[in-house]
Amino acid sequence: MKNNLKIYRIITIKFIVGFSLTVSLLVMSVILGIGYAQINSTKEIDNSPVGGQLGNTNLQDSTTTNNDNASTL
Amino acid sequence: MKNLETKYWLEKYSGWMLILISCMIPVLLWGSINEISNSFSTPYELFSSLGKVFGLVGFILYSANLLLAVRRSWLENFFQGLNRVYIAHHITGGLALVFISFHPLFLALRYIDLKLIDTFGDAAVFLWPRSIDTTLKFVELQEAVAINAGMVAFWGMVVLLVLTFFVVLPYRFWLFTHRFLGVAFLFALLHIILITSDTSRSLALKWYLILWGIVGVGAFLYRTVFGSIFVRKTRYKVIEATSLDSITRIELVPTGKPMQYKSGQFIFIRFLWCEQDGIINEAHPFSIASSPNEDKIRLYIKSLGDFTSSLQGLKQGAIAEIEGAFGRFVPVRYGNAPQVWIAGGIGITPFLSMAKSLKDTPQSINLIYSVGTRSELVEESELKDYLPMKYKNFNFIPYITDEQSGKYLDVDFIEKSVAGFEGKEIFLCGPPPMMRSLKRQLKNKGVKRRKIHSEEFAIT
Repeated sequence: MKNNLKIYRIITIKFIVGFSLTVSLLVMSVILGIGYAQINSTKEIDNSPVGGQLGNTNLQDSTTTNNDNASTL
Repeated sequence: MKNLETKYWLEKYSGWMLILISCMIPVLLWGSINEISNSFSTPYELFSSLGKVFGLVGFILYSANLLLAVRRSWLENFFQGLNRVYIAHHITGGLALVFISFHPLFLALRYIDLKLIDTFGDAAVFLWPRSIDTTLKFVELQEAVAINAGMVAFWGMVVLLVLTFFVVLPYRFWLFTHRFLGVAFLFALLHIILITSDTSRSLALKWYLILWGIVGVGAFLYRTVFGSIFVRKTRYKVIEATSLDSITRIELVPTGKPMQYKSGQFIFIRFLWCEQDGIINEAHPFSIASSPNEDKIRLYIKSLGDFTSSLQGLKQGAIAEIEGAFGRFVPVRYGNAPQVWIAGGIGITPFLSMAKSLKDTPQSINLIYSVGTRSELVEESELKDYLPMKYKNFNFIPYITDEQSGKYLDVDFIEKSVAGFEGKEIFLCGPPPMMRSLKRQLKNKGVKRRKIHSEEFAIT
């Protein structure tokens, strides 16, 4: 009986709010962290000289420059 | 007997039932425009549906939370007293935050496939504010504004309710921050109105939400923005303010038409233009100790915090603004059954009012008054000599903890003093731990819950 009462007191609205909010904000932070890390890494790959000939004009420019340099050499 | 039990439960929980029904209606309306079997068929659909349902319920709870803060006596009918209205306000606020915090989370989770790391990017973009510029088409602009408004509401609510639940702020700072919850609600309503989701597919759902939005905004404007104009208050003048150890005794007379109240009720009082005497300009609740038959109001206020301690500096002639009266701790509502009144410390105040309003009724009344030391007894001579002499059925039983070897008042002592609890209505007012303990002991003795009436004078 005593234990039941203690458990009942612990599960207060404050606990429910605290627990739910912690879980929710933590998962959202993980999503934002992984998500934006993934977006940034994709951008870096796209912007790299080797990476991408996938329709990014800057990339094509840089590749062209490399080719030009190569031909000069 | 069963009818009385039903009536008791209906009176105590009718407010909660209304809130539950109000939360279920938008879910049912949402269900009516969606194929339920499809709504939970894939992880995408499951999280999408959960996100929407949590958002709908969270919004209704948020609005109900603002409504419960208007401090109107009609609300007491649904919760059995203003103290319980405030408890409901506290709980609905917390639950609203829980539901609303899962709304964006579930909607973001629908994009995630754990096997494809790229999907986290879509979910992250969903959780980030939308950029607004002139190149957007009208529909895109509307959607971006709706989502950004939702984010402002969400983060505003998170910050303000974290301050309420988890940070101990001085009362006036807390009150100042709490007022902005209405502003966050305005953004939530804007989100609901503009968003092109299921709310725009069902007119009934949209208007149901807008109606609750109007209720919430109305409540916010009534209490927080235009409270000084709309909320009815009565002015009183302090004619006596005496400090008795840690208790301040204040007597006030009306400057105009007096306020109406019943014995056992409480008021919210604010002292105006007294800052130079160190009095904090805040409204706080206190039980009335005088009888409604008297032409003045009497309060006994124990120094428990900075506001109550500051009242030791109150001077004669100070003007007070009173709002009320509130409370369902009114014995006349319970007929002619014998009554047991149990007071702890400053919890004696509503009983002083009740005792002074007694008429020659056949019912017996036993007042058990528990204090730490004899010097803490308030109006002892009146309770011990005058009232029992005037009303033959009134019996005063003091309980001094110090004289009982430090043993706290218990139900065995009360039972012996009042010759059993059979057929008696029991009224309790005192410090929360004492009331919790006595209620538990009374229930263990087989006293029905509907026979126990209490006034939690430390409002949540």
